[in-house]
Amino acid sequence: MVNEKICIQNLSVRYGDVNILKDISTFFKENSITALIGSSGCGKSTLLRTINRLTDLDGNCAVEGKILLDKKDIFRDIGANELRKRVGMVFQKPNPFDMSIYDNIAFGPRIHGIKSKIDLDEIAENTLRSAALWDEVKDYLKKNALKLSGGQQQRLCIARALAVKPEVLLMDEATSALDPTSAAKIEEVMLELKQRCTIIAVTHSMAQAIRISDKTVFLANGMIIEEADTAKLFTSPQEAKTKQFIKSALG
Amino acid sequence: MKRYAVSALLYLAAAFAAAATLISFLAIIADIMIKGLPEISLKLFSPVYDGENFSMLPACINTVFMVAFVMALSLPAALFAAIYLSEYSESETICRLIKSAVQTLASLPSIIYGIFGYLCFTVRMKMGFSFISGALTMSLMVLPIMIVSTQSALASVSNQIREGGCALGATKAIVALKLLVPAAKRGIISGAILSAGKVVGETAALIYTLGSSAEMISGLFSSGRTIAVHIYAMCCEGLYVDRAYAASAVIIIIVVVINALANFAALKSREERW
Ligand SMILES: Nc1ncnc2c1ncn2[C@@H]1O[C@H](COP(=O)(O)OP(=O)(O)OP(=O)(O)O)[C@@H](O)[C@H]1O
Ligand SMILES: [Mg+2]
Repeated sequence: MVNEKICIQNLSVRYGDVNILKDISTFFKENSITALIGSSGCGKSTLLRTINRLTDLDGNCAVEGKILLDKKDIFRDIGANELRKRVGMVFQKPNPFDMSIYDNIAFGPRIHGIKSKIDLDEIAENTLRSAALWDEVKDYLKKNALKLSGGQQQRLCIARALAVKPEVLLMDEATSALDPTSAAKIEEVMLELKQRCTIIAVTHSMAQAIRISDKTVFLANGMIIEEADTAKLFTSPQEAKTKQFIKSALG
Repeated sequence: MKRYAVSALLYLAAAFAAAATLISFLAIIADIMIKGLPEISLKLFSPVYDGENFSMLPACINTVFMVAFVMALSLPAALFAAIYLSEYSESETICRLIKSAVQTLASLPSIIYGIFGYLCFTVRMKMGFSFISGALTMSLMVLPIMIVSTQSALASVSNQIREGGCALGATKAIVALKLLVPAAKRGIISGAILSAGKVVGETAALIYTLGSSAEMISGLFSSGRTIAVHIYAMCCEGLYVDRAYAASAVIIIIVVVINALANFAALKSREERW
């Protein structure tokens, strides 16, 4: 039996009076990469941001339905901060903090009570290695993170997210602002991370979805139109809308 | 042709306004420096004031204490008020109400604060003419400015930083104190400089609270005068305008130094980033 890390049941999300997500149900398997695809504005980011309750920050946003993390209701049985520690996020635009590379990575562990320099050093090295950044920055850990290139910043953000040992990693078009080389590096990192994380990745690149994901979920207009193993979805889509979207996206 | 004339006219008007501002600024500085600097003598910096030396050293030291004390009181208070306004308050209406109240307070003439401080601290709370009633009054006066500037500095920090911190499981308080305040540091510092300048330059709000004793203050409850009050007193007495000029030159130097220090601090903290 597959292990459903995250299970979404009849989820609806509104901003004010506008329904953004409409009665969504699906699940995300442990240690797999799921790609979320769909045209701009269909609600992919909103879905990700509901899973770690970033939607809470917007007083305008109302959520209905259930999301289960390891069978526990994230809205009732898990505190928001605890949830966000377990479900990390990497944003579309790299957003390192205005502090050193080292402090960026140590930020998460520190707020969750890890103070020892030895532990923090170890976390910094391990996460930077996982994010394929260690060799480039190991001699400059005290350098301000904003001085890194865009691709390096994004990998730093991945390392920063990994530093709190998340079980799930949400990635919202994490490579779309980057050059192909940096993007390829991050894809490799994602494939590596699959061993210990459940990854849900929004992407506009069908090629990327095909390269890295195990399952693909196609959203349109706030609803799931079709979901299947990636190979299957791209070779033999069942729905007309999916066919059309894939055709135009592969262009 | 007509468009050209209009734009030439606009250009002239702008140039004229800029020149007028610059010239009047320089004229004031030059006037004070030319008349004030020659009057500065060692006698003016004797440790103890008497009717002969008219020392302004006590006033200088009082001013420094006043600025430091007012900053120590109002900076943390303004910081937390601003954090509340920009990060915590849920209700839009209450937030807007508080903001407009704060903005109104920021534009009240300082004598109002003087009268309030006199009635409240000096008389009612029996603090008398003292450093503490002066400092409390000044804190009340600069708080609104500091709250408004700190709040807008916090509000201008990118949302990506908030979300980045939150996504790591940081509480609102940690996001505010560890991420937003450092990111807003420059704006916060410039609000503080503006406030420090107000404290240095204030007379009306201090005469009825701090008093105008020419001695150096010896404790929270002793009266004193800041340089601005000293200048005011000299001018009032009519006979000592030359000394007032000397003190004015000194006050300008103090303000320039405060500004330079604050800018240096801001620059330094930026350089640390490497
Ligand atoms: N904070 C918000 N307040 C109001 N409406 C919002 C908010 N965030 C998103 N929306 C709306 O929700 C809809 C879905 O937005 P979302 O960002 O989830 O789309 P997306 O699929 O990620 O698009 P893209 O591919 O362009 O990133 C959009 O119509 C958007 O206008
Ligand atoms: Mg999006």
